[in-house]
Formats: sequence, structure tokens, C-alpha cells
Amino acid sequence: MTALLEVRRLTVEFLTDSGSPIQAVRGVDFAVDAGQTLAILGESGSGKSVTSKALMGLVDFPGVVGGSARFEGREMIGLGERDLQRVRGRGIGMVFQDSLDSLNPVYSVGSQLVEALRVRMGLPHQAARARAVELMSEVGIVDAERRFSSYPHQFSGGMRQRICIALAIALQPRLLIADEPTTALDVTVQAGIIRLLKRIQAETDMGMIFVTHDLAVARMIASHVVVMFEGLVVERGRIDDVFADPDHPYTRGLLASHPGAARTWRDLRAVAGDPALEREEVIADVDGI
Amino acid sequence: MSTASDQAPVLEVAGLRKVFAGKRGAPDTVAVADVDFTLHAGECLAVVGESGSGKSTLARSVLRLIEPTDGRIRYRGVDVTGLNPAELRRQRRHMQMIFQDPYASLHPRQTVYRLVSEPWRVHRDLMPPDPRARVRELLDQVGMPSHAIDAHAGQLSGGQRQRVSIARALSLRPDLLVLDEPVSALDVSIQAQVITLLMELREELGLAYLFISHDLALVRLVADHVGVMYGGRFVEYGPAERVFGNPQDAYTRSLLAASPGLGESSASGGGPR
Repeated sequence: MTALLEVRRLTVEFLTDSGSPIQAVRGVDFAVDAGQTLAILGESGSGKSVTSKALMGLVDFPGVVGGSARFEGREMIGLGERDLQRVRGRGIGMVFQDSLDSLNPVYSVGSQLVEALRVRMGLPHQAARARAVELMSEVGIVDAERRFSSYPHQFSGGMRQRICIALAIALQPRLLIADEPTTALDVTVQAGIIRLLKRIQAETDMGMIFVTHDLAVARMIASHVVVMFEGLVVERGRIDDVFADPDHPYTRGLLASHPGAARTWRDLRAVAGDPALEREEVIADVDGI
Repeated sequence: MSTASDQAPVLEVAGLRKVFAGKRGAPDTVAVADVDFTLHAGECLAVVGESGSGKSTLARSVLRLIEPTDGRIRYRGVDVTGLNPAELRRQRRHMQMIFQDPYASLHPRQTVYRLVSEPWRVHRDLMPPDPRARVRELLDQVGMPSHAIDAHAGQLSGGQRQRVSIARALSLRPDLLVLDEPVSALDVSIQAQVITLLMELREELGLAYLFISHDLALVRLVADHVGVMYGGRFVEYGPAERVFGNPQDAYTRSLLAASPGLGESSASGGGPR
């Protein structure tokens, strides 16, 4: 049986004026099955977000994507915009960290849901409206019928992120890519959104890629993990195994630098094996593109 | 060894209140409501809470960057609330602030030397005889190489920028630092470095910290006392071991329950594995 998504030797380069391209992703392999959640874990500049964007054809020039990403057996890399649009939404849904700011401020949230349902799912207006209200209550918006005609600015950040999740799951994607969807939110809201994503996954058996820098959040949601560092996967496996017994020095360092693993601040360790400032400079360079 | 003035609290806050008036008939917003606390030299008081709880308004009110509506702030026994702007400026050298986002708080086109020496342009009497040498010392103290002195802030990474912010705050030899989410914008491994630096400086220099954070896992490692803020109030305030070990308030308990730790596995939510 083939995986829902199979990524092989994925590379992303950014061409620069100086001639030597910056290799943001340097040959990454992973696979995701239906019903499974893979966390892509890494710090700034590790290439985790670029990886998820490359899968959706969202890396624009001067970025150049190479390698292979097969979704349900079909090659995604190099696909034209028209074909990509058919896969996006229905096949692969997306939620980003800043999704909550991508809602149109001059349309009510309900009408934005209705639009997606009519255009992409072909529902007639009445059915789309009913389904939109249903989706809003599914993602935990109280009194959805009344809130249907509220505008984005009348919702809090957590509620707007829920609307974005509703927009993504409205199209019943087989794979959901969530890039730091809870990073901007409070912990109690974050806990609610993670519970929500897990519940939707249990109901629909969708696969999920959860991109995050937060070890504890990855632990809460994912069954499997790949750890990225400077464009490479340095460790992979079932998340419990990786956290219990990390192989790679970078993963060990990352776990040791997390406050959850320490008893006092004296236990905190910066990532091992790299002179701190040098490593920060590397990160600054990658951020600079 | 210690004299009476060492034992007097660095900061005493009583009945602090900040109300933002509602515009065009909207109701007033009570951002900080009757907050009391005491902070001694070498102590770290963490204020935790979620967005909108009033923790940043509290931090700014303590320095009178926001004028409090009511209440009393005493710095080493001096009532700061009654001071006129010139007197306030003289007192403020002892109380410095570190902000969350070093990309916003440091001018990207200014050199590290200019940024770290700038406070001396305001507090001229504290200008050292050889400012460049003193800036080098400060950079060394925060773990920056001395050749960074001529770099522009824009060339530095987030962790390096936050080190520069700390050096700048230390240039006036303060004894109180207000840290508003000082590491929230940084990667976890860089976070560990900056926290370690802050805690070492606290021991070395006997600084008192008012540490604003939403990250309970981090606060647990650094705080002596914790104030849990909700709706502008301290719903719980006490020694860190007690607040974390035996929380009395329902909101504190729910906040602790929602905070992700490394121990929890994904199995708890019942999702497919």
C-alpha cells in the first residue's frame, strides 16, 4: 500500500544575486499515512516551513524546488498552477500560523465559509449556509447561527484560527498541513485547538503534517516526528521513541534545552556540539533570504 | 554582611490600578486591578497570564511608562508615583526594561556601540571615562565577542540582539530589570542560552527581576515568587513551589493543565496513533 504522501529527496534552493544559491532544504524524505500525524520539528532556519510550502507548490521564484512529493501516487513537484489548485483544498488543506489574519475583513466569516463550500464543493446556497453553521459549531464556536454574520474583527485570535480550521476542513482534505497553527495563541486556546484537530482526524481519518518549533506541542499531537536541522532530517521515528531515546546530538540538545525537561535553570543546555554564536550566525543567514 | 538598606525591598507595589477610559460611551477597561507585591534584591517575581490578562500593562505601569490610575509604587522606599518627570528620570536609571521583540526594540541601522552607549547620552553623569572600553566589558558580560561592537543590529540574530538589549539595560547599573517576555521570540535552544545568561547576571549583580511570561514551564525554572494574573488581578500570588505544587485558584489549575510539558504523550486525547 502506498503512503498518502511520500516525499523523496526534496530540495529547495533560493537563487541569490551573489551566484551561489542558498540550500534551504537539502534532500528530505518522509511519508505520511491516512490517520497519522507527522510532526516536522525544527528551529528557525531549519527549513521546516519551506518544506511544507514546497509540498503545496507555494515556493515562488527565486526558490527552486527539486526532488519528489507524491500525493496519493501523483507527483506534485513541477505541477502547473491549474493542477495544483485542484489538489489544494480538496486533497491537501492548509492552516498557517498567520491564517487568522488572512480572513477577508469586509466579509462576514459565514459568507467566507459559504463561498468556499459553493465554489469548491458545489453546494447550493441553502445547503452551504447550513453546512457553514454546522462547521462553525464543529470547531467550537458557541452560538454559531448568531455568529454566522459576524466579521473577523469581532472574533478573538483563537476564534479566528478556528474559523480558518473550519475553512480547511470544509473541503474534507485527505491531508492537512498545519504550519505552527497554535504558535500565536494562548496555552488554553492552544490546548483546545489541538483537541479539535485530533477529534476531526479521528472522525475523518485524514493525514496531518504538523510543523512546529515546540517540542511539547509536537508531543501532544503527533504519532511520528522528523527533526530538521539546517535543511536536513537529522532524526525520525515514532515520537515517543525519539523523545525517550534520541539518537542525534542535535535532538538530544533540543530536548535538553527545553524548559519542560529541566528542574532548575541550571539544567538548561544550549544545543550541544555547536559553538553558540556560530550556529546563530548560520540561522541569521538563512533567515536573511 | 548585609546592611539595612539591602534588606529593604527593591520594589513595593500596593493597590496598583490602571483603567483605560472607554471611548464614545464604551465601558472603561480595568487592565490592572489592585495588584500588590514586594520584590527584594536578587529575587525573581514572575507574572504569568494569558493575552489580555494585564501583565504587560502591569510591567509598564511599574516603570510609569504607562501612568497608573491609582496605587503606590515604592522603589527602595521612594514613592515613584509622586515624582515629577525629571525626578522620575533620575530614579528610572535603577529600573530598566527588556522587551519581547529585539527586532523591534533595537534600531537595525545603529551600531552595537551606539545602542549600548545610548543610555549615557540621557544620564550624562553616568558616562564612563572610556565608553568604548566599558561597552566592550558589557558585551563580554553578556557573552558577545568584542568585535561585535561595530556591527549593526540588523546583522545580528535574535539571540544576539537580545544579548545587546541586556547589555544596554545593564549600562546604567540598574538593580531592577523588568523583563517582558524576554525570550518568547527566540528559538528554544537560544532561549536556554539567554535565560542562563539572565540568571547568572542576577546572581552576579544581585538584580531583582520582574519577569513577565506566558510560559509556565520556563517560569517554574526561574521564579522565586509567582503572581498569576487574570482579568487584571493576581488571582494567586506566592512562592513558586507553592503555586506550582499546590495551586489554590481554579484558574491557576486550568492554566497549569493546559500548559504542554514534555511528559505528555499524544495518547491522552484519544486520537489515532
